[in-house]
Amino acid sequence: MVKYVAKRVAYMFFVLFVVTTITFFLMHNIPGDPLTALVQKLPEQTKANYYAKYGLDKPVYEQFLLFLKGIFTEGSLGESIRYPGRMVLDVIKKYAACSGQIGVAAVAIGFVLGTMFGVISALKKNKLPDKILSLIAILGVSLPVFVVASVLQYIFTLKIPILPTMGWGEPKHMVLPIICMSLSPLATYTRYMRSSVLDVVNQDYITMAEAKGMSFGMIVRRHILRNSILPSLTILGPNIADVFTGSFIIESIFSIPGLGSYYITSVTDRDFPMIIGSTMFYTGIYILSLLIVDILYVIIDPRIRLSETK
Amino acid sequence: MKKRLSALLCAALAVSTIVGAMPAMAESSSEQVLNVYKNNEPATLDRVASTIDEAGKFILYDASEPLFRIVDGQTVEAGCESYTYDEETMTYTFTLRDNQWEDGVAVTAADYLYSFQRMVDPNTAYGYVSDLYCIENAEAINAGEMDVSELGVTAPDDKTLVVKLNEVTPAFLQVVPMYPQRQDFVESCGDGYGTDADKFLSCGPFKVTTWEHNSYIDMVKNENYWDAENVQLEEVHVALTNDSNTLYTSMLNGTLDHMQTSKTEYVEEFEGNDDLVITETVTPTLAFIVFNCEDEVMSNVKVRQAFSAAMNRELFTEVLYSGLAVPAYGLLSSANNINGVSFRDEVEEPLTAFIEALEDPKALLIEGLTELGMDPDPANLEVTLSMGSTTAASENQMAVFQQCFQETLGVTVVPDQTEWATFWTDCKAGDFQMGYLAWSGEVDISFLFNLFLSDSAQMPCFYYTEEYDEIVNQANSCTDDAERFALYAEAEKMVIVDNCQILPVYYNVTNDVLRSKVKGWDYNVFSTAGHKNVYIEE
Amino acid sequence: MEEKNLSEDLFVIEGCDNADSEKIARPQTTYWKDAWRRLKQNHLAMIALVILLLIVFFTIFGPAISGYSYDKMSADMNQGPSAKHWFGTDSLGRDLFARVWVGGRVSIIIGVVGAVITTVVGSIYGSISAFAGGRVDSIMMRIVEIISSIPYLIVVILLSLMLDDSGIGSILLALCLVGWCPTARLVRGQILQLSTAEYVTAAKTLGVSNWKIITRHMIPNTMSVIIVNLTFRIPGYIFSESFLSYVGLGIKTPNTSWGMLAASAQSNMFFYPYQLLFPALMIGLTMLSFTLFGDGLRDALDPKLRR
Repeated sequence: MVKYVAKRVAYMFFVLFVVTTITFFLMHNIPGDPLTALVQKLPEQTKANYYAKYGLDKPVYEQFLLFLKGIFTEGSLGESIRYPGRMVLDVIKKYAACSGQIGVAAVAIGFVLGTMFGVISALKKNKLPDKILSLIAILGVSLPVFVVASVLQYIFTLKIPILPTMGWGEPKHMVLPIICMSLSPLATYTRYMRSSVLDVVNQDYITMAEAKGMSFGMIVRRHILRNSILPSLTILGPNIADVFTGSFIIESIFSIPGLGSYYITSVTDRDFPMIIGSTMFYTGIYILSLLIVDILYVIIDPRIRLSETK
Repeated sequence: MKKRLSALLCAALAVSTIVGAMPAMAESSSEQVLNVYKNNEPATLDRVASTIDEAGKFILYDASEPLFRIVDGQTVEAGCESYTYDEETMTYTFTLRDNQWEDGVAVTAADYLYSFQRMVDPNTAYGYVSDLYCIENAEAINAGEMDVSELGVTAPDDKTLVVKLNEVTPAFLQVVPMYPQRQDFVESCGDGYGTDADKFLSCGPFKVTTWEHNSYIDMVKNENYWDAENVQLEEVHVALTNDSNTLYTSMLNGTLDHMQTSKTEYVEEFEGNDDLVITETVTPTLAFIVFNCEDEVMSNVKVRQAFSAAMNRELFTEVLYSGLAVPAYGLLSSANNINGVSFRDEVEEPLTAFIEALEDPKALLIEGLTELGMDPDPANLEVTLSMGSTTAASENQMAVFQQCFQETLGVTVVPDQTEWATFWTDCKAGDFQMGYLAWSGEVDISFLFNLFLSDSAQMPCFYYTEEYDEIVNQANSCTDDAERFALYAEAEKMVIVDNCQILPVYYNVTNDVLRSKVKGWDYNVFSTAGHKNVYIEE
Repeated sequence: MEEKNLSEDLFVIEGCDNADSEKIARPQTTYWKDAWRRLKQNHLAMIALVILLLIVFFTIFGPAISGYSYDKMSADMNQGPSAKHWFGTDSLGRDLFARVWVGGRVSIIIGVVGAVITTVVGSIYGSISAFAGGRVDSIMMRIVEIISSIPYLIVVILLSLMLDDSGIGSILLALCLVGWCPTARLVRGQILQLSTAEYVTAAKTLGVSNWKIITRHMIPNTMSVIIVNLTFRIPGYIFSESFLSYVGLGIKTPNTSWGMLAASAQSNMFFYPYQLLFPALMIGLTMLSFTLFGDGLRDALDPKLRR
């Protein structure tokens, strides 16, 4: 186990390095740089100083080496160019926490409720509860999130004014964003669970368990959940990583200081250090969550072995 | 385990709902608290940084004290108590007020001097540094040929600031941002000055207490401000959001006290609301299409004029803005003025006469194409119109442009909509045919004209003439208002008709929606008064 | 010893006039044929199929039926649904009935084709990875991680430069480039779990070929997850397409899609809700019918439900 985790962590650094390298060179190939994205046309001398300050006057590979040097010698990801004076690492640390609070809560709610709904849906297949839950699931993903968010905002801040319209800092600010963001995971987990529970309910071991008089709740927990949760777990990993970068719309509707807007605007503003920083952060979280999920696999289903060799 | 976890989460959700239910917005009713918004996160509060944006300036009106403010269209002394101007030596002498920074340290002339030096220093990159070239040695310093200490700005004592110009600049007081910055504090922040509440020092009517990036900025009254006794608001809360539905809901439920909109639907909805007051204002913003005059087709002035004449501006404003925009036939909107006299009151829009005299834009286009030695049949002409936005609104604009040009000229318009940075990079590189832009005029009338000067070449039209430079430079240093009007009128005709570098589309109109209890609002589009004079009527 | 000649005509075949009588009475069907037969018996799935066909029919003929051009502006701006304009008009006075169906062409192609391509590619990649195991698996999964982590926006901006025209093809390419990764991980996970199942071990012991194990056991047993994945992809891609227009790789005006119709109705949703309703309804209906059809397909394909 320890050996496996160590190996995966080593892989993680490898992937991180490859992703960073590829992104670095790709990003310098898109048209424009932080200065051209600015409206004003600066005088030549000012422009030259500006490029020199951020090393943009050097060849890309040299910039890359400097960037690597910065990481290893100072542990720094550099300074944002669009927002001068903001260190990339500080921005990520601070705003990842905001995105994380909302996103992880949303995914957790979606996962738990979705799992429950999925099991109910499968056990009551083609009966009313199944149909209602399926409809909720379809609405959850086919309604655009900005529509749901604006409608909820309208209802709960104007018609029944019990929540704040926007802002950040208190628990009440998180309620609506969490609800909006949990809809899609809720729908996804419901459908995946329904499907994979249906796959296991007819298995012999379930019949066996019934035959030996096991209680229904026990069967669900011991056998059904264990054997059917794997697909949900597989998508749980990327889902957690995505909450840090994919909440752009929700953030802008509710004025949440999250990382999602940085992830998008850094690219549209050509804020190179910020692009690389947020990409590295995302990659790290993504791979870590995959690793955790892989370990969860083994805990839940002992038949799967961690060892990568046959 | 799973059940317990879900129960816990549900409980947490329920609790937070109840917590939220209690004091939704009880605090704001009768106190001196103002809730406003800005539609993007300020990049910085460093007034002289190249990244300073509208949102940053907006905060600085409240949190800093420039030498002068524009209040109700008039330039009034703010940080300076009085000033003298010596025409002989072209020297301004400003006497400062007894103002203090929020930490109690006195604001001195050295603080203003320091920000002047930073603006021209090529290392700190102020975006419109060419506005300062009228100051002695500024241009040489900015080019790296001289040291900043040689700038023609001096502080003989703590209360006196002297600025020596090298050319007559009537608009000096309006054009150059004169905000104090304290050297010891700026340097203590390293590169981070103005990027956070604790990396910024206020000396204005309000001080920044919280800056939650991309979310909100909170300011409270600054007791150390020289005029604190006349500041009535206790708090200014600036929400940072650009979602139109959020703004709409916020105006209805009282979260915000002010919003600006160009949407007819909102205006109609708010008009029925007794609590809200709506004021319509023409802004100095011109939306236009810039021609790349180096492009094969667009290099011919007749082709450009034909497009400009073919544009149905009434249709555009009617269809897209339901009339809440003014069709533009010139460069300057009625908001632009010299000493309170609107430019548009004095000067006819040059394109109107041109279009009246022109019989058929299509014939002009054919003439132009023949001159170019190209296929004269417009039906075989394909032109590309580029836009730096892909929102639904800009999709609609593109559709109207296509229809206008296709119907009148019979040409095919190929849409090229990309994200802003790609578009603007292409524009600056001359890699486009027609580009759709909007640019705002500043308080001094010269601003939009200066974009077409050959030495600044801010406008990517790639055609600049000496003749034009001469007229505009003459106008910029002219002190007689009537003469200035005449010179600018000539310059405007060159840009719009004779050279036809741009195709004006519309002047933006905005609607200020204000809660009726808020008084003392300055609706002037160039206002830099901030919220100093605003109060809530109890 | 008297020689007895037993000539053939002494024998008469009794009761075996049908040489096939020993054969199994039920016609031998393949797994897939059987699935199709059962699918046809599922009413909900068939209704869903009909709805889908109707949507496809309308996306082809709808604009012509409407009697309006989808890109022609008119003075009837922001009109609600009426006998004249069945779905109302948009802010430029264009007929929404025509626009919804024109938009449907793009959305259906991108949503369905995109979902199918990524699902197929992802499934193949995932099953190879899981089945190969060891080092190959490890390398293949690292590739998935790398592709998933590179910022999508940058890739799309570069794509939009390389593929100068932004037809449906380039949008599909942009969506498919990374879209297959989650499917690959999902299928790999399923197959890893299945490969320890008793019947797979049994099949292996009996010397069944790898190929047969995959097609006979692995894929049918993974099918249910793949189908759910497929149905979720459809609205996902429909919305992604409207996001792509944000970086300049979307469908160009005056052409449109459901995602873009919904996005452009957003700012007016409190005033003209019908402008949002119809595109959203179409997305929902497509998703619903694919889900119902998928459920039917799942039941039909499920080897455990096979009778």
